[in-house]
Amino acid sequence: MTPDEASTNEWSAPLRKHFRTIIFDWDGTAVPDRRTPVSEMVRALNHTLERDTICAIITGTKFQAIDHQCTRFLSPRAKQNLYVCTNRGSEVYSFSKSGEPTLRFTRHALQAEDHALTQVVLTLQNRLTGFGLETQVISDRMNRRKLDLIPTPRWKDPKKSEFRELLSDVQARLLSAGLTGGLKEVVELAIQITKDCALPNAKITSDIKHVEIGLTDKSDSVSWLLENVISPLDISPQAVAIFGDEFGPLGGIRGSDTLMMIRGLEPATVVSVGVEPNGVPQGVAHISGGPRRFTEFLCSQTERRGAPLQATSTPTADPSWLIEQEGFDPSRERELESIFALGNGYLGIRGSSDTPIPSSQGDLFIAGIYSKKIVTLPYSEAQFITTADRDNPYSELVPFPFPFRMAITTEAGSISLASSTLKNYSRFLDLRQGLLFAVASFEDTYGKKTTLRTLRCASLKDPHLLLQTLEITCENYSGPLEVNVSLAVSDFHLNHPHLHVKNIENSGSPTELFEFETKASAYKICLACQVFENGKETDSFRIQTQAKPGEPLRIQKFISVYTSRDVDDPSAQARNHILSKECSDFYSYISDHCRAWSETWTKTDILFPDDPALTQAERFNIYHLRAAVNHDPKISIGARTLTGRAYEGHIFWDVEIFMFPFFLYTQPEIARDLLLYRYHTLPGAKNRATSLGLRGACYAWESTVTGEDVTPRTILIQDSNVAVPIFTGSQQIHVTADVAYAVWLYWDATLDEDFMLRYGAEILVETARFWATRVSEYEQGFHILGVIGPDEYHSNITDNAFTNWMVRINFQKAHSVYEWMRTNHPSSFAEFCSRLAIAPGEVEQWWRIERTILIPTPNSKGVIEQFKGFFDLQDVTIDNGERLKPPVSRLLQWEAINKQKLIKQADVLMIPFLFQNALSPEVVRANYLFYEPLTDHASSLSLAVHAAIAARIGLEKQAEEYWKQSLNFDVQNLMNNTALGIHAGCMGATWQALVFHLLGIEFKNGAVATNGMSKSSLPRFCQNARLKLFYRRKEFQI
Amino acid sequence: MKPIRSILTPLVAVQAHRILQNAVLLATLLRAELHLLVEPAQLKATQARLKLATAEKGNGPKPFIHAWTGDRLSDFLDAVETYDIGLVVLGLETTILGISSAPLSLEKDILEQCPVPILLTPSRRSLQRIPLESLLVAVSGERKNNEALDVAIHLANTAQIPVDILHVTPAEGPCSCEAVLLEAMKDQFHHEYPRIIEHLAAQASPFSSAREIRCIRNFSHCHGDVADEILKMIHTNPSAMLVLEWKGFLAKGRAETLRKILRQSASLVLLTKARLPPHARLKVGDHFGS
Repeated sequence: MTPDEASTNEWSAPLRKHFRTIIFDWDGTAVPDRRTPVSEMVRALNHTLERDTICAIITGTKFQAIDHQCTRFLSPRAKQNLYVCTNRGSEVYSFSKSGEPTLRFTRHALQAEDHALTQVVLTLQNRLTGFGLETQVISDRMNRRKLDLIPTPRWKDPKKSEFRELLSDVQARLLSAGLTGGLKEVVELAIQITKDCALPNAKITSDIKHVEIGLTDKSDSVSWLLENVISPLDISPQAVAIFGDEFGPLGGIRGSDTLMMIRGLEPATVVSVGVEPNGVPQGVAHISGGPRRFTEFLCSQTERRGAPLQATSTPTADPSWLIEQEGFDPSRERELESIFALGNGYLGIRGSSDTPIPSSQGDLFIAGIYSKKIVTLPYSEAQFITTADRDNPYSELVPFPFPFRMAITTEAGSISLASSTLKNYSRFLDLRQGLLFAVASFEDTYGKKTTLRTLRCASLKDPHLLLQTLEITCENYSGPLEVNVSLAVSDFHLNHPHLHVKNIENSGSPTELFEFETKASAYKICLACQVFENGKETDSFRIQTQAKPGEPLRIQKFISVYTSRDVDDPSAQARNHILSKECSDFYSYISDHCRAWSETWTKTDILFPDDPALTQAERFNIYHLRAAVNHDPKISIGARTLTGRAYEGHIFWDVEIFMFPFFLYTQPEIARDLLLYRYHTLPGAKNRATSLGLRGACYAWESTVTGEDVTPRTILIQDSNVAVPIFTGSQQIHVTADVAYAVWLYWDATLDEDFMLRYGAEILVETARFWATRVSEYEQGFHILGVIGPDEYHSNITDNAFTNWMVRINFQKAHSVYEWMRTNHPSSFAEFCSRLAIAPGEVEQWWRIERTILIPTPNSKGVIEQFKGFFDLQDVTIDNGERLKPPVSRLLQWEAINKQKLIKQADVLMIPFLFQNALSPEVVRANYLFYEPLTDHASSLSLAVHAAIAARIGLEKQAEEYWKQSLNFDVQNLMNNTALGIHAGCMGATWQALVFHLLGIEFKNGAVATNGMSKSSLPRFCQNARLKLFYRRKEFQI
Repeated sequence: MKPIRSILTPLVAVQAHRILQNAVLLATLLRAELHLLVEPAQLKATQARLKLATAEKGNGPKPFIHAWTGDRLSDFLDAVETYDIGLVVLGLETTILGISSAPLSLEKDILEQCPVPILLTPSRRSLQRIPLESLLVAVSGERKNNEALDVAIHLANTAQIPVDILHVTPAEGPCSCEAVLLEAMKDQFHHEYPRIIEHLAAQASPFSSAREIRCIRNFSHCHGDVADEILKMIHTNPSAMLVLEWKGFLAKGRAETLRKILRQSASLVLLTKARLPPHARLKVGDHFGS
């Protein structure tokens, strides 16, 4: 039977709908037994899965048995939607993109549990032996023991169809032995024994022939699916079907398939295809027919799928997954465009309205596409920034035209947020699904009402793909309706001065295509677009129709983006990519995207059960961190990611010090890619060191694709002709040691030898080599002169505590990895030393510097001097009103500030922030109490560090206050600069402060430890926080 | 802001001719209708002056003359609403610019209650008509205090003249809690501050395009007494019209700064009132789930 042959009329009403998830028992439901070929069922299942219905097999057997009978015949595409829950609730498998099975969950029995299981089954056997009943113990099952109540040749391997007869024989056997309660009595006896044997939570089930005592059962499988698949994908329980064949009671005990009917899935449709001689419980539809009927049901589902899935086009209901805007204030639009930005790491699009207001900055950024800095703002940039030192052709991230722009005109006039007819507006960023929704309603002076609903996404599954839907409804009037969906924009050269338009194709063709080239860097970029009107392809990008009252016009738009960084011919690639898209698959692409986000969330989500607002804010931060990265080893994360123009897309120490730990302990493969960026920019760092007359690699303070430093050198206040030097580019060199630190952190957390041998070791050596030539030796030790620490108010300083500390770490780790290679990989080591020309005495010199470099130590009060001479600077008192908004005059007074004990952001405190146990609690406290009052927090990176250290020393109120400020930095626009892009470093720092300081987590001996902190000693607001961490290939649930 | 299609000028005898000249000039520049509120006794004189003023201007606007009777403030406010007035041109008597105990006057009432921008022609101004070559907008840096910039951008685009922005940080005292947009340091200053200025313009005039906002020519930042710095700037550029936002009171808040500017200014001054932003919020933090 093919899917086409399935009748849609023969099903009862509850089954005549499309289900998004089908959970089913295996033996007796999907297959008659494990030997009968089931090709029809496999084909139907394959069809169902390929149409994006999620299916889950629930079975007591091993994965290999299911694979042999079924899954090996499924396509890799189909397997993406399949979960196999084996061993009676103890394991869950899903599949990789290539179709390889991946163990997603396993329940490991503790030694004591394993022992108790054996004890229970043997005790039960002994009791039954006492009745003269011969039984047989089966012990080779995972997390369970079985006792065969009828170990006779007749019933060696009973078929489901024989169960009625089997039950009769079992009951007769038990009765004759004096067990008058029959099977039910045996089960009750087993339950009693589990309590006596300290295994009170054991799961007791029976398939008539056996009594099974296990740690898990089918309810655990379904619970896992609910928590990890159904809820993250926001699948309504009403869209779930559960199929089995044993819901009704047998032998006085409940049917085993009722275990699949768990709390949280009560609204699911539950169906039995079994014989069910004693009927089925309430709420179960009994259709009988066995596996054949189940196969028919699968076929009917493939036919039903086609209409857009409502669930994928509505925001998640739980508000802790949503950032919702209510109302419209045009003056806040740029701020909210940053907040509502979408991204997949390959590209990012600001969250402008689909009908943008004139001041909107609906930029599309493509990671790695930089060009020469162009001053476009005569009244501001020209005022402040000198163009000298800005000739680098890769010095500014290029903004591209907003791809989701639409212009709508109806009988009621222009439909846009700039229109005076706008009545209501809501915008929702669905963090769980990575989707942006908007609803706007309009009413003109004649009462003509129009509603506009939009949805968009930047696919996380296919990073080159953007999707948009638009639904316009003239609610109470008819007339001409025109929608211009072209990618063309007005004032192109004014708004996009970095770009040449090389070619435009937009007439008489189903695709619209724009080819750009960056002026200085000569990258080629293509944006291609295809549009469908009410499901039909259109070759005009100015859609004209006659609107009817209440009948929506639906437009679906596919946009493809390719660059010459990806392929040789981005235009051909973009055209082919977009032409391969079918309108009917639109929601499949959305589903794929949502599923990719779901997978991210299973690794990264943090839950504060007592405070959903905190959960929401943390999810917002995690969303933006994840949206900033793609698996591109040649690019890293800009300070404002791909959400805004500030910092021109430059990459700072923020990545390695503040964002990197989040990725490392949740998605280590991304952390690896971030380090590979530093490997690929090593040539630029080496050039920089050479230009300074030094050896090794000196990473740029502000970096783009080449690794050359793109920090401006001076700004000129043209009014007053005051030149303000920018020293960070030449002096804030701790970034080099910060990169080395991240390499070591990665190595510690992953033990990824391949990375260390091929990339990491070279970074460690070249950075150590740089420091060996950068340090100065005097007074029987090594010193570092002329630097800026994290506190950027003080330049040209000597022996900055943080810098020197990190440099020592750099030497230690370079030395350590050098020795590890020599011992463990001698052949690689020889090649490595030869290639890098490591001289015999060079490593000894590192060791000498490491031992004698000056690390400022605590004074008599326990305070570490931030740099040489800091204690002698002028005292200052910071007005509370200046915290987070220090006066702009500090820019002009930089020389005076240099002489004061005024700190921009955490500096010495960075040491206990990164190295939890490096300083004694007394020293940490002394330094916090000394430096905190001197800090004006002019950097978004400062708050989280102070939260962390305040928590360390028990200042719970301050810790909470600082942490919440940092957590909400962008959603509350704390520094009034969110309009320029979100603060990714702050988001990463907030995560780090929570995990490693407020929750006190650390890694010891390959496992998670809590640094001696009990739950009750944690700050109250985060005591119940729940999250997952990955360390050395293991997952830890916190 | 909506385009200025109509200008209203309540004519007071003392400065009538000069005010009329400027009103005609401005209406011509903005291609707006001109409405005059005139006391019945002044009707004839006004018509004569008008003839003269429009003759000077050549193809100037056709004015609409309305008799000013009954309660003069009510008449004025009715006229603003009835004729969809976008701008009021007003002469300014020095009496209202004194200290806060200044006597009540019609001008004061109009100033405080007028719902649309008011162009003041200070009495010490000796010039007979507007040499309008640019607009100077003084901004405090407060987030919700940029109506003046919005009005200036629209006027500048209509009249094809540039806008200069002056931001003065008061020499003494901490900056206002709200004045954080421009007066506060933001992380790496050289990366943030230029874009913050751009953001200020986008915030102030969100319905202006990037091309329209390019009418902004210069941004200047200085420290000192706010009134002194503004007057200094006016002095160096007397052909600029000063555009200021105010809260609508001549006796409180920063009124003394405003009075000082009006007393000493040799330029035209356009006063705009702060507007309340439309309702919009994110459902986060305290608003979560609400």
